[in-house]
Amino acid sequence: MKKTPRRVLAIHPEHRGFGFVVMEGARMIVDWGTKTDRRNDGGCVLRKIEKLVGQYRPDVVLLKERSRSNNRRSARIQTLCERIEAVCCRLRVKIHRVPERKIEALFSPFGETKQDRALAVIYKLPELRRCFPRRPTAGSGEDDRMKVCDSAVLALTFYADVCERSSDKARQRST
Amino acid sequence: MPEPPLNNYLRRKRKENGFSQEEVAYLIASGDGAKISRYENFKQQPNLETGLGLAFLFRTPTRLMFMGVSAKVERRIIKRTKAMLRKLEKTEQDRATMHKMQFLRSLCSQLGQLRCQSG
Repeated sequence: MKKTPRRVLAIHPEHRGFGFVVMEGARMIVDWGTKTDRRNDGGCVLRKIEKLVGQYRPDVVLLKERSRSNNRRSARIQTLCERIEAVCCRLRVKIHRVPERKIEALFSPFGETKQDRALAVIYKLPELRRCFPRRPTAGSGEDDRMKVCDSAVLALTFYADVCERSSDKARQRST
Repeated sequence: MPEPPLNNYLRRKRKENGFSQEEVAYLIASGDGAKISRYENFKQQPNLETGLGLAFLFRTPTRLMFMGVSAKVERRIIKRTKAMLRKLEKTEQDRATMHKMQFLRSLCSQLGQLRCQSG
């Protein structure tokens, strides 16, 4: 019998570092934060991810699904995601890619912008209220704390999907 | 088998309340921030006084704050309780022994672990 993953580590890599959350179920957040890659070579990111995986021993590591060709995600980040996958394979931890369409399906009722998504995340996980990112202004980059919200989005989508699948199975069994 | 709980959930509680490791160390009057970091990274276990202090500070039951350690201790005790029960079953069943066995059985059943072995 396939077991339901209990602890997940969601990672959202960006141009300088990554955001992460560790969750044990859809409502229990264990750790969260951002890590910065000062050298910008990816090696530092991989070491930090390895440390997180070693520390928390998650059942699954979550990343965003490989993008379609028209996606704006840079090639460097996509390569980094592949390297993260390789690290997780070496550490024998499962990888799950969360598709964008599932994220949209779950978070579209809250609004279209990333800020709206962040607000929805804070609503679902009030522990993250200190990570609410400031609204971007012209000329300023995205707030670093948005990375935490983005990774929480991955984790929440994953748990919602797992719940949906298990309730589907239960419904099938009952009919 | 599900992934065992983490040794402690100290980092979660600290971040949730917006404290730094130094501040927590100051509040519980135990070492410095580095020590709290070692607890959070599961490299060291706090002593009883520090553990109780942390649980009191974050208003969390000690058992929940140190869930992994607590589970480990419970498992060990249950294992030994069962062993002792088996041993007592083989000895003479006087009043004191019966009382001990009753206590051990209720302990095990309380923790939902015992498939009672007495015949």
